[in-house]
Amino acid sequence: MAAPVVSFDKVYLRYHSAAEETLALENLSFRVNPGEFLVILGPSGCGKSTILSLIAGLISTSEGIIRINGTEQAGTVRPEIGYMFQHDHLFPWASLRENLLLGLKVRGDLSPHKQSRVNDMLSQYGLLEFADRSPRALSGGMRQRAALIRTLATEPDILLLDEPFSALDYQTRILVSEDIASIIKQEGKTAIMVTHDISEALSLADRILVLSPRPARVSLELPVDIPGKGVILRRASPKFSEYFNLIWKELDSGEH
Amino acid sequence: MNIEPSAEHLAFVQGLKSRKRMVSLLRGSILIGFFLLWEAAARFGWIDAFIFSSPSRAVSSLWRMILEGSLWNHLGTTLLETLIGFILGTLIGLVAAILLWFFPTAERVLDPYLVILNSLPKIALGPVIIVWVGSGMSSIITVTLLISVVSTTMGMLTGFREVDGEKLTLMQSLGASRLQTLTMCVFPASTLSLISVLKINVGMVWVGVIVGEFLVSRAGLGYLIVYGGQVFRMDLVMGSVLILCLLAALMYYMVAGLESLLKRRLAE
Repeated sequence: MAAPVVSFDKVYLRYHSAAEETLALENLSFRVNPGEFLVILGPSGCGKSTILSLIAGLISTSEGIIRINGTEQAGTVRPEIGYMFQHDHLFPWASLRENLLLGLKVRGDLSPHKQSRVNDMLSQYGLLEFADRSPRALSGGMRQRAALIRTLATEPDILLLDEPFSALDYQTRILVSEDIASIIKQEGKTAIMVTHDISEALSLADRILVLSPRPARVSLELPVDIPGKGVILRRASPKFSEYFNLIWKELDSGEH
Repeated sequence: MNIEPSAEHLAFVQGLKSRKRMVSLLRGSILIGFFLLWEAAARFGWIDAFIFSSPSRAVSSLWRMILEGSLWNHLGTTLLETLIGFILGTLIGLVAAILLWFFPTAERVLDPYLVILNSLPKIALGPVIIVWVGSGMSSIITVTLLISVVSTTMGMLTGFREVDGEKLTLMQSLGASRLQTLTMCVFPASTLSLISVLKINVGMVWVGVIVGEFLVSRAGLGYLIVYGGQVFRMDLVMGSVLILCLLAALMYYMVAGLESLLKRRLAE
């Protein structure tokens, strides 16, 4: 098997406040393979997003080691990682193009090559006509696609997705997740997504890690093999509900 | 939409227009009515025109000053002080807010001082300022700054703090420095706070300048008001107040114009 892109080795994380200490992650170990779409599924407040913050280097572990492409993540932001949030956070005061170039501008890397790459993505993913307009002109789904292009502009290998569809209405959510997933596959990225939505996890994942309530541990690791290409076909498959029931039981048993 | 507007829609638009006309008409008639009543009251002896002045007396007293050429000096002095106070007060307050944002520990340490300074009636320090700074224009501008700087700082800091935390995380995840986060995200996101600070400052600065002129000056509209009061030339006092009203309205509409310009830019 190829070397993992991300690995967690016996990771613990404790939160501290004046009143108490909370164990958020307990002895968490897992690995993410190159090109894989890994979904981390767990109840709200179990520390899913914390895992992404750790990978991104926004916070540091209490114990244990996280490796990214073989080197230890020592709490620094690394260029090979892109982060996508629940809300698109496109800036209304800048044009769509300026928004998408944000990461490159931060890095001082507005080379013509990089800019034309963003331009290619704009046209490839159907947003070119909005390039010089305010992001307000975009629909919710288009905005999330734009947020993905902003993340891809800095050419990361690893995408961290923090419930990126949960702010959208149901129908848009399914269409956009299909959209985003196919872009991620097309660009050949490794993706790690956290969500509490079982259906969403099943429709996108190559593999699912089910977490227990806080302190989060991996309670179930589940490679997903559902016939049918794409979100909608997957949802229609009978295997979909088999997996669904399996995960439902696991989450349910964690509750008690 | 290219469809022919319905009769209902036309009637609705017509209604909007006539309501707007009526509001403007009522507004104008209050203004004119006020001056007519004042003038009539003075002419027919309902009030003592020597004490209460009258629009015609106030205007003719201003007209005399225009003919003598002395009005421009007073007007110019006050305008200059106001402009300098407004720009300096906003800039200093802004820089202070930015510095405090950069150093959160300093912000926490200084927070109670800011709150107390903000609620202190800074006019109370006027006499001290005269002693410290001297009795010139610099004293007046100092009073103006005293009034506007702290509220500017507090207003902007509040704006900075209201920026969505996830936006800051986004900047952080892109590897942005604190300065980049400020210039690319936090500051542009606080444009509306900046506008409201500017609006408040317009009012503050007028108070500062006029009070400053009451205390020290030899020229300016505030000086004219105090001088007119002392020698019992109420025409002069009222004339100066009229000019102040005009100037304050003018400045307010300039800021309001800037506001709608910025808002349009934000909203496309």
